[in-house]
Amino acid sequence: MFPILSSLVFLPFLGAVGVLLLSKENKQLIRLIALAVTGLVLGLSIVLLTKFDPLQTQMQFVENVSWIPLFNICYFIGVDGLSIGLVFLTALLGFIACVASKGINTNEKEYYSFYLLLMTGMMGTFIALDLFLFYIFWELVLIPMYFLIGLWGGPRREYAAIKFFLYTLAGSVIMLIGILAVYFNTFPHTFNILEIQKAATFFDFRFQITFFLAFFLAFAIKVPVFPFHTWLPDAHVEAPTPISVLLAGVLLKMGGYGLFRICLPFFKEAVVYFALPLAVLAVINIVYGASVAMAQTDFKKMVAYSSVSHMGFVILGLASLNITGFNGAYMEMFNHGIITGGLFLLVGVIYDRAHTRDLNKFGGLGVQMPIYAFFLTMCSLASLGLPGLSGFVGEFLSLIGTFPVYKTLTAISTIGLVITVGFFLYSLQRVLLGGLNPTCAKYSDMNVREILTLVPLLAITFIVGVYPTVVLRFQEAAIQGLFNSWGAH
Amino acid sequence: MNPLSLQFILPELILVGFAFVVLMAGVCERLKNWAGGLSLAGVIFSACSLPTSWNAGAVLFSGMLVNDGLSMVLRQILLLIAGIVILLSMGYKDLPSEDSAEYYFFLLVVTVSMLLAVASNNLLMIYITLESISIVSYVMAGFLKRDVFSSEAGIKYFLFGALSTGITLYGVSLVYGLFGTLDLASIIRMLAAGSVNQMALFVSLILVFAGFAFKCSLAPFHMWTPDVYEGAPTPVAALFSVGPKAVGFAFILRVFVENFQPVFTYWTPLAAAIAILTMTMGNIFALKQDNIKRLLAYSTIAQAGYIFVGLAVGTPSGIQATLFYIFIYSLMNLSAFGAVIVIANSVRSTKIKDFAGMYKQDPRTAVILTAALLSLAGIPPLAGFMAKFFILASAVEAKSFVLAIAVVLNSVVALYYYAKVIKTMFLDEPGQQARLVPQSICTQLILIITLIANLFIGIWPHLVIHGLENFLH
Repeated sequence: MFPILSSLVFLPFLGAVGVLLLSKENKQLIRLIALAVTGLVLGLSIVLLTKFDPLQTQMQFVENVSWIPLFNICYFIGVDGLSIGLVFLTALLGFIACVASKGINTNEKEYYSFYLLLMTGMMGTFIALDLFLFYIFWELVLIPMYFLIGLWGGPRREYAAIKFFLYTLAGSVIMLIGILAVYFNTFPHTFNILEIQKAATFFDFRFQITFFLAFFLAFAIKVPVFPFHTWLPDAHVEAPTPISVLLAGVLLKMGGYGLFRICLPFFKEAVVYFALPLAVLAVINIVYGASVAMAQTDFKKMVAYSSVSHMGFVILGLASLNITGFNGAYMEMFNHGIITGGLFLLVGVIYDRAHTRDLNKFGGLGVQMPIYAFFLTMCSLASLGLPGLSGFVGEFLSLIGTFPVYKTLTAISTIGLVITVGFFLYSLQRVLLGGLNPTCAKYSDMNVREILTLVPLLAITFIVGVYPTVVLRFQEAAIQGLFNSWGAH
Repeated sequence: MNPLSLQFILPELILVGFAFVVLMAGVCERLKNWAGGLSLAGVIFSACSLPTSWNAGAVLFSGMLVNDGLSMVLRQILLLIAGIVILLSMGYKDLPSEDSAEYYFFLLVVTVSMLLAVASNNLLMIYITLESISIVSYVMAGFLKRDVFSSEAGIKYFLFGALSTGITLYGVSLVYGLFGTLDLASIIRMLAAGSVNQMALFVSLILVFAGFAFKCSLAPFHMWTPDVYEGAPTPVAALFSVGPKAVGFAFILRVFVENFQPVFTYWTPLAAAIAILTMTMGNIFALKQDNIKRLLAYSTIAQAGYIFVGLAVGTPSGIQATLFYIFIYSLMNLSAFGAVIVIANSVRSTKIKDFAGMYKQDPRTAVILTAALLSLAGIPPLAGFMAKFFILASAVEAKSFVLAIAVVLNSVVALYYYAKVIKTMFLDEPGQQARLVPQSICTQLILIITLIANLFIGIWPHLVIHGLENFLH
């Protein structure tokens, strides 16, 4: 059988090596290779979607080869309903952000090789089924990200890059201890995630509490959960547009994915024990993230904080500990990736023209750039959760799941929704409405390339908003399976 | 004399022979430039004559030396180190060419002492080899005699070194008083048979430990390290950072972990405390350094702390992890020092700020240094990560979570200063245009080999692990 998952992971890696071997001067060719590779990955992921059987709870397209026998470490990969959506999201945003990388015009060779390496790391994280392999891919994301922010970022890029690097590393090394502890407490010792899930019922309570926290720290930093979110605005604001898209669209999902793939099945009692604190943190994320976003004058920072708020719904859905909540949380991850990816692209579009992201320096762009106004309005509406667009579905399911369990908290979190509506409308008002700011009179509307990057995202937003089953049907069986193994305990 | 004995030290004999040939070559004007090549040949011949199998039971030189798995592994590693250091020295432009023969002579002599040291199974032999490594090291540290810093390094190393080996000798004499012998094999038998005064044993072992800790630059015996590394010729600093350190750890392993651990009840907490102190001090002081050699010096202190974790744990997997770490660490550190040699040849400075924009001027060396530093920081999928992973695994397996947490938190701190160097090379704008000087082919080649090894072992660590397992069981 054709190793489709391995190709998804290692095609970008081969592409990175290929780009490195080319001469610096072949800028066109380098860009073409990167586009071809990410395009091919996207194509493969669509093939994967069509061949995937959503009704199965088993892992599909499994590849398992022994890697380091001493520790019983395997190259073990596969997808199920929990990962397939995120694999597709990674491939889609990977391709779109690559198209949007046209604006990068220094050191293209290094940029695209780091970019492709980043793709390998992100893909690998979502399909690895061996904890050790998972950790390697998880960490592999850091180095290219450090350079991508640090070399091609904004004025405070060095600070942002090192902050991102140290923060995420601090979380993940603690997770490494957790991984080892889980390994040595599973008999026979194994890093195989599926085996550990079966053996996890034997973990005693104290062990669960301790190592749930070890894993949670790593995932909470990535999500990010308040109070571990402070790296995110810096990294987002300084990163170049395509990298912001991947940061918000994919990297944040690695944290959420980890919670569902590892924390939930491994540490069931600990999750129950910590459900209320988790829900409280989630509500803080939602309300606090939205409030801070309201106060921003920097367009990109506003979108970054809106991510903090939206990711709160992922945690909230998880803390509800029921199927509806889980489904909502998972939907929210996919939808947030699509919508916020689009928003960051749109911020990039205006930044390319204005070289500023100060919301107060725009005005009246609705007349000057009608196409831009259309896309920005749609994406903002989707993000603030207008019914009929995809952002609504995830948040709604997440709230429905939580309401029976935590009535007060659910009520408070809806305040966050109101604030979100507020700051998105306020930003639309400042950018699109009003009299045309004379400095904006020369801005051209979106070009074909920019439109093409946004069309698929908006199309998905529409389709999912109207007919959520297209996404739900992929994840439902897996989440049911997860919940069953969970409820059985 | 047992003919096996002579056969066992054949590698050392070959090195001694070559050492004198190199010294002679220095006298002859025409052969002078061949000193490096000759010593490299010596190391290669010596490596070819290493024993191919081990036999811990064989009595060599009346029990002075032992041909066990540990000595076999470490002799291979040490000869590899010597070979790499010779290749790095060939590309070191500050070495006065009129003295190069003497330089390589010392290098071979110190290698002989190190090879004998790791095979020593008698406290007297251990002391003698320790002292002979030290004395040659003092000379090598001060080798650039017209350079004040180098002379200072030599003197400083001598003063600290003489004190700590003196303390070790005192401890050895106490052990002799307690047991009436210095043969480690006999001491084990006596320990198993009868009771020993615990307090006296504790004091004497602490004293013995001081000298070993000095060589490994374990806190609180690490103070000499940055000054000596900064002043000493860079390839010599590279050698000090790996060779004598490996020897020091071999001594600790042989004397403390293998022999005295059962009776030395304080060993585990004491060793754990030293390991944590060492890595923390190394990393914290490294944060503020502006000279790459001093930064690497503090980094080696921190790395010694990580290595020592395996010995503090003391389990078979801990020992295996330690040996694996020593091997990987040697490769990474030599790679880093080698890249510093190459870059410093161009920018004529070892200040980190003068490395600014090195990526634009000399991308290959900048990438090699970056890979070495990231590997030292323990970032996957580089070899350094695997080494750290095995150390961590041994700590977690033994339920020493304090040690494990100390290691990972230190790794985060360490990343900050490693990344600072990387940032300077990649992100900062180059200052004055550095004049790229032609570099030695040998040095370039060995750097690329270490880079490949760094990546390769990171992905297939079991190749090395298998090798180690054969020796340890």
